[in-house]
This record gives sequence, C-alpha cells and structure tokens, in this order.
Amino acid sequence: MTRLAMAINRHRCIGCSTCALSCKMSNNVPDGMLWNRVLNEGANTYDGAVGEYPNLSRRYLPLACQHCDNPACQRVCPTGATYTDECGRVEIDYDKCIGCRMCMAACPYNARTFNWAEPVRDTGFNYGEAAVPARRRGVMEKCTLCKERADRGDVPMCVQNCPTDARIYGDLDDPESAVSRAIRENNGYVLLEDKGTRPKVHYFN
Amino acid sequence: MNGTRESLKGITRRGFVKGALATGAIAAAAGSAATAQSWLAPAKAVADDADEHVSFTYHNEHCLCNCMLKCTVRDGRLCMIEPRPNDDNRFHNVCLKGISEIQHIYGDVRIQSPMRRTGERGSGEFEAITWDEAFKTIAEEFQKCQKSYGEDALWIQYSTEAQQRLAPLLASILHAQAGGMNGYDMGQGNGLNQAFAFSGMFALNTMWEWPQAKTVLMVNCNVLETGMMWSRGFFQAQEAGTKMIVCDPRYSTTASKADEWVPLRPGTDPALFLGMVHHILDKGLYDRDHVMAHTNFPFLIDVKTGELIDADPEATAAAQKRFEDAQKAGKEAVAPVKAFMVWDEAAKAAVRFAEAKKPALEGTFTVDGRKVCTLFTRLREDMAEYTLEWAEGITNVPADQIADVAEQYAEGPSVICNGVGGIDKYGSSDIAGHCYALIASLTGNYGKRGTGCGIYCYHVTPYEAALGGWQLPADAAPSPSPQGFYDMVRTDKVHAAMFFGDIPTQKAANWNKTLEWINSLDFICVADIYHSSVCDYVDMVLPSCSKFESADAVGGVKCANGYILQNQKIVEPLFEAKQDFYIEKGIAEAMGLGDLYPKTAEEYAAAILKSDDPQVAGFTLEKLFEADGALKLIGSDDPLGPEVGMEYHTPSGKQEPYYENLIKWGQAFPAWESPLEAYVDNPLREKYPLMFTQSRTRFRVHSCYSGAKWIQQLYEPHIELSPADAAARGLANGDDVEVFNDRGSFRTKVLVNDAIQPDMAYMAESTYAQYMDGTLMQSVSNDQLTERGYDLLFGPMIPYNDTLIEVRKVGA
Repeated sequence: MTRLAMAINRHRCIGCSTCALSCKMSNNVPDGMLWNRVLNEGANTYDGAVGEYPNLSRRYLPLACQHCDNPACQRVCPTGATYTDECGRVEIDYDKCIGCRMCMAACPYNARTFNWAEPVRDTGFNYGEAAVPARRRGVMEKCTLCKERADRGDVPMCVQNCPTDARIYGDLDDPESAVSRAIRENNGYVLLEDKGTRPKVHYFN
Repeated sequence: MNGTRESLKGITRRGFVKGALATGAIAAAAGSAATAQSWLAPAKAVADDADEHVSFTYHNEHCLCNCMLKCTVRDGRLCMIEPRPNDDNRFHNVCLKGISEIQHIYGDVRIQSPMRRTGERGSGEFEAITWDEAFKTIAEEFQKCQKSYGEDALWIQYSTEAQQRLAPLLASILHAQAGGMNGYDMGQGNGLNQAFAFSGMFALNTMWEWPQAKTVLMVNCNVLETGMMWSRGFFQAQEAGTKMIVCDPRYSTTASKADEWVPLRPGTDPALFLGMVHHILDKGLYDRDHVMAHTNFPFLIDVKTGELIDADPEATAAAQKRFEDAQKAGKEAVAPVKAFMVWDEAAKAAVRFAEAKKPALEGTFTVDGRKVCTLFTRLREDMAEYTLEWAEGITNVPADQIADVAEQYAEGPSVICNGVGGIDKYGSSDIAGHCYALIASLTGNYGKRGTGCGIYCYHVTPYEAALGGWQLPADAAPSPSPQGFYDMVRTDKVHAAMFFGDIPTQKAANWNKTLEWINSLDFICVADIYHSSVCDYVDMVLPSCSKFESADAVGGVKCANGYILQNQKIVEPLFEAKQDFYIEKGIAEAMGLGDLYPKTAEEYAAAILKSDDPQVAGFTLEKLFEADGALKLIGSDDPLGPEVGMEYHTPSGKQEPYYENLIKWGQAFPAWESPLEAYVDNPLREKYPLMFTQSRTRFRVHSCYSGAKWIQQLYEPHIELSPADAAARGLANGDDVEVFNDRGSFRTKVLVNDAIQPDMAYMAESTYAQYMDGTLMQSVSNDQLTERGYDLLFGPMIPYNDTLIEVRKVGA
C-alpha cells in the first residue's frame, strides 16, 4: 500500500506563507480563499508573540488538510464526494459535491473552504496546473496533496517551494522514506490526536 | 490609445484587464454567473487544450536576483511561477512575493499608459497620452532645462523598483546627474571598511562557512524574513551546532528561531559592543597571538595627537607630494604609507615595525622627547568608561548577558552578520560598523575559516564575473554628482528630474521637505511598474514593464550568485508598458540621440555577455537558452572559495581597527555617541515618547508589492505597539491612528503586539499612499545628517529610525 503524507519541521517554518501562496497558485484557488494557511500558535496576530516582553515565544503552524486515516469529513459526506484514494489521500469528487458543508463542520482542523459564490479571480483567468479541475459555486475544496502533480511524479507545490525545506513528503507505508524517518527520528506528532482522526500530516520540532 | 486623450478618472485598471481577456479561450471559466448547464457540467481541467509553454527568468534586482524562475505561460498569460530546477538546492528558490506576481502583474495598481498631469501636483488627476507625446514632451523639457541651467541641472536616477534589466544609459548620454551617495544600507559599511580594506558591505566569505563557526552574532539582520532564500544557511549552521545569537529590539522572526536573543534598546548597538570590548579587555579574552601577528595594535601613536608615529616623516611627505602631483596629472599612483613604529622590548627603543624583534603590545614611552603609546594601550584607555554597567544603562540589556555574549564571541570562531536595518538608519551607524571591526580584530575573529563580519544574507557565493556593456561615446558619463538625493532636495541646483521607480518617497526622510523640492522643479517624470506613492506628485507617469515582460526574446542578463542569468521573454509587455530600456531609448530618439542605443534589448544583452573573463568563456544568449536561462560560472564549484586570510590592502597590510583619519571626529577608536533624536533622555520625548523604527518585511521589497492582492490577503499596513503603549493611548487592534511629530503625520491602523519593545513603535517600511489614506510614512522620519558622514566612504546615512513620534486614535 501507499499512504502519501507530509511531515513539517516547525522550527524551520519561518511563517513566510510561500507555501500558502504556492498552493493558491498551483491549484487555481480563487480570491479570498486559501487551502493552506500559516497560523501563529497562541498569538492573535500574524507576527505576534506569546508571553510578555522580553520573555517571548513564537511558533508558526502551517495548516491544511491533514489527510486523516480516519477522516471526519468523509464519514459525514452524504454523497460519497469525499473519499480516500488508493494512495491514502483524502480527495473530493467535485461532481458529487452537493455543497451541504457537513464536511466543513465535521473537520476539526478547519481545513476546508467553500465556494459560497461563483469563484472570482482578480487575474480574470485561471492560473496554476492545467490539469487541476476548476471548481464552481457551491462546491467544497481543500488541499489535494497536489494530486495532479504527484500523480505524474512531482512533489506538492508547497513542498517544492518552501524556502527552508521545512516540508518532507513521501510514503508513510515505506518505513525508510524520508517522511517516515523524519517522523520517527524527531518524535513527530499529529494535531488534535484526541479527535481520533489519525492525520497523515505530521509535525516535528 | 492612438493619440486619443481620455481622462483616466473613472476608468479602472481592472476594466482593461477584463476587456483584454474577453477574447481569451478561458475567460468564461471565471467571473461568469453559474447556469444550470455549468452547475451540472462535470469538473474539467482548466486548460485541457490550451497553448502552454515554459520560459525562464530571474526575479527582483532589489533582492540581487536570488530567485531563478521557471514560468509557465498559458494562452499568453503568466499562470505559474516555480523555482528553476537546480541540482544545487541552494539556488532552487522562490518566495511569496515571486508567487504573488501571478496576480500582481495583472493587478489594478499597474500603470497602464503614459499619463500627463491635468490637476494640481498631488491631486492624482491625469490624462492618458501616447508614447510619442510623452517622449516629445520629455525631450523638450530636458533640453529646456539643460539649455537654461546647465547639463547637471537635470537629475535622472534609477532604482531597482522599476524594471532595470539592463544598465541605464540615458544619464550618461545626456550628462545629467545620476545620484551620488546612497544614504542608506551602507552605514555600518562606512565604519567597517577601513580595518580590513574591503567595501565594508558584503562579507568576503559566505554563510556556508557558518557551520565552522561556534557563534554567529546577527545584528540588525532579520534574515528569516528579509533574506528568506538564505534561511537554509541559518538552519544548516544551527543544526550543525553553531549558536545563533540575534540582537534586535523587536522579537523578529529570526530572533524567535535563534538560540539566544539580545533585546537591546533601538539605536544602542554601539554601546552593546563597547561594553563587550571593555569586558574582553578586562578579562583578557582577546587573542594575543592574533593581535601581535595580524593587527596594528602594537603600533605607536603620539599620545597627544593620536597620530601614528612615522619613522621617516620627511620621506612620507615627499611621497605624498609625488602622489598628489600624479593624481593631478591623471596618472595612476599609490598613496604613500608611513614607516610605522613599535616599541621593541629587546632593543628598549622605538624601531620600524619590520625591524622589531619583540614588539611591545602595551606601554607608554618617550621617543625623541615625544610621549607615545601603543594602540592597544590607547584602546584600554578609550574603553575604560564602557563598563558592563554603563552598557546595561544604555542598552537595557542585563550586564550578565552582555558579558556572556562577549565571552561566547571571543571564544570563537565567531561571525558578525549585519543586516542593513536597525542601527544602519541612525547617525551612529558607522560607529556600529567600526565596533564590529574592532571586536573582530581584537579576538581573532576575522580572516580565518568560521570567522568574519559584514553582510552575509544577500549574496551567497564569492564568485562574480566581469561582464561587458554597451559602448557609448568616450565623453558619455553622468555629470559629477557629489551629493546624494537627500542633499539635493535641500538645494535649488536641479530643475528637472526623472526617476525610474519611486525614489523621492524612499531615498529621503522628512517627506514634506522632499515635496517642497518636487514642487520647485520645472518638470518631474516617473517611470514605474505600479502607481507608487510619488506618481501623484509628478508631471508625467510612464508605465514600465514588470520583470516578466519583454518585447524581445531576451530582456536582459545578469550575474548573480555565481550564475549568469537570462531574462527570457515570459509574456509580451502588458497594457501599454515598455521596458525601461525602450523608455530611455524613446526619449533619446526624441532628442536625436537614438543612434547611440542598441537596436534592441536583446542586442544589448548580447553585448553584456562579451567579456574576457574566463568564468564566462563561451557564454552566449543561445547557450543560455539551451541551459534554461542560467549558466554556472566556470570554476565556481567550491561553495566556500578561498579563505579570506591575513593579508589586507591596508597601509600596514594588517588589520587596522584604528582610524587615524577620524581623529578629528573623536572616532579613531569607536566612541559612544547618542542617537540624534531617539534616545531615552531626550526632553522631546515628553511630546513624542515613542521611538519609531521602520524595517523590511517578507511582504514587501520597499514599497513594491503594496498593491499585490495575494499579499494583501496576508498583510495590510499597520503600526505595531506594545500592549502597554497601546493601552496607555486607549488603542486596540485595528484602530485607525494618526502617527505624528513636528515634521508631519501619516495615518494607518494599529496592531498590538507583544513582540514590540515598550516605548517603541514599529512599522514595516513603505506602502503606497493609496493604502494609507493618501499619507506617507516618511512624513515623520528624521532627515538630520551627521557632518562626520561626509568624511566616510559612502557619505552620511539618513537616520530614518532615529525618530520620535506620538500615536493617537483618528478623531480623538
């Protein structure tokens, strides 16, 4: 089996959001929406800090679909639009999506984004990978682990473009893959483990 | 526009984009209302059968072209930007600004056509005109100005904010002034260059040596935000065990990833270093072997005058005269050097350095009736007052921490990596740079592997090729321009000006003074890609191409980071924009000088590649196409390059941290000098209590990207205050505020952030006025120059950060 996954080195994450915009570009994500965001854990502003000057800390948290082994979104999808593919990725069949947003409510990571209106792009044209399907109003969307890129052998755009090499991508079912080793050797962890969603996206440091 | 004039008021730039796209194959995919048919149609790839190709270029000159880019173009539009594939991971780079260009170059902040002012300066009222009209008007205005007031009454200055893919020629051809001194980024270099006889700017070694250092001391350098491409060097060293110490008043991104943060008061960096030097001397932590072998600390000076003792002053004076005569005659000549003397403990006498058997490091002696001492002895005396307690009082950094940092640094090998923010924008920036040179030479932290000082985070290879250029007539050169733009705005010398990029709002502090100067000009014109702040104040605005647009297959070439890069055409010029090269050429043609220019940008680029430098042997535009737009310099495989070593082009050939030429300023060794305005005890703080620092951010290159909508989704302009300072003014996140002092004011939003030091206000530098209620942040910044600056290599620095302000809620 193959279980495609990602491990993110939070010490190396500098909060630059190059991943967020790379994802937006590659996947033709419309104005006002992002599949991938960088949060600042515990702070109320982008470059805020936790604590009182000068005793401060700051930890960025890049967040997108966690591609759970037990995806809460998939369990509540009434049409089967959300599914786990043969590589373990949680994907959306846009043609089956009826826009009920049950998945959006179920996802504990707030990783999904909905086309409330007809998507608008300031450019006036579609950008990104030619093979990425266009989504219409009323359809849910989220990180696909750059399915179209990965299926032809490329890594996801956020992994390719990260200026600090903070993202490691690969197969969790291969114990010798870089991603498996990174998680094992660095005491990798998942977000909201108590939710039982068993994310494939791991974090370390 | 074909000669028709049309008021731009009411025409949105977006309208143009949409209009242009109406014929596009994929226009229907975006923006059209959903119909039953489209709702039910299966999701399809956006571009199954589109015309798609890939081309290569490089990104901003302002970042020194760090990013080699692979650009995908579909149906004539730039639809994807990725790092150009490179086996060397260090050069496989793009950042959020690069990605944001997908929207930015098509965005509504683009200048779309040449425009002539119709209302008052500052009104923002323009009418569109043709390029022919623009070129004709500019030619007439330039000719009128130079005929009436002289060639040097015309000022043509270039910045990297416009396109700038090819070295400009126009100022040289017209003998206009092109701007002399820069006024920023070079302050620490001013103080660092003499000791090691290099520019004082970019370090001579690279960050790939950092893993060999025990400690890297980063001063006013926020590389993880402002040099993101080189973050890998930071983490690589840190993971190898190098301790990263960051000195910054603000808890910057880099401070948050460092092993230790030194939260000093703004503008007090020299005090921190003087305290460290005091501690190093006090505890004997200096490297005696290094000091004796490789520095001039044993040299003797006259106790009274501070001048270095010369064994044969008559010979030096005669050599000096020959030197000056040769210079006057235009001949090449080498400046004479004194016959430096030391105290020889073996001979118990002062002797020429070369003849000494056992030079003394310390001591005061009498030589020919003159009282002399060694430089090291003078250093001890000069540093005596800078105790740790004194340094704590100035910097607010605990004495224990200053001592600890000094000890770690002295142990070495250590690096001082300076940026160009923070202290660089104070009048005392040269003193900070001088301190780096002093402490490095004292502790043996310069010259050998794992040591060094200077700027590390903009360039990352020691390799640079000498390239060719375009041959102009022998007399073609700008008029001498001894003054910086910051000086020029205080004079009435200039009567007409042209800027490529928004120089006026950024290369001078105190905007209201700059505006007076602008209003005194007979004619002022700006070429820029985007409607930057200055555009509303000029007579004519010209649309430059973005970095991705070119009328020719090749728009430029560049040597950067050990590569020759090729600016291939990605897309055709958008709207009515022209490359800077063709804007210049058009003006020259209208003045009857067009023959001096290459026929095309591609011809110019080919000429630049003609060079005898063996590192680029055989490099041609064709070879660059074959190599996807980048060729690595021949012989540049070793990422480290040669060791800097212990031989320098200083007068003695040694490290010389004592600056004899600055005796008159009291800065032969660095001496503490309070900031001009932003210091704790300044009585002005009763009115304006906050110390205002501007610095660079990941979201901007100076003002550029202010209008990039994808960046705006992440960041909007705001001033940051500590919770205590915000509470004291009744301010909460998002409040509209006025920032003011006696020089002026601007408006923005406030953001409360624990990362900001109390008594400080922080703002990322520069944003277009249109996003700040029509105001400019340089309205408040300090334009007081230090006289000493004119005696330094790069001239005085604009003390943007040496500024006090107050902040109040709008309407309060």
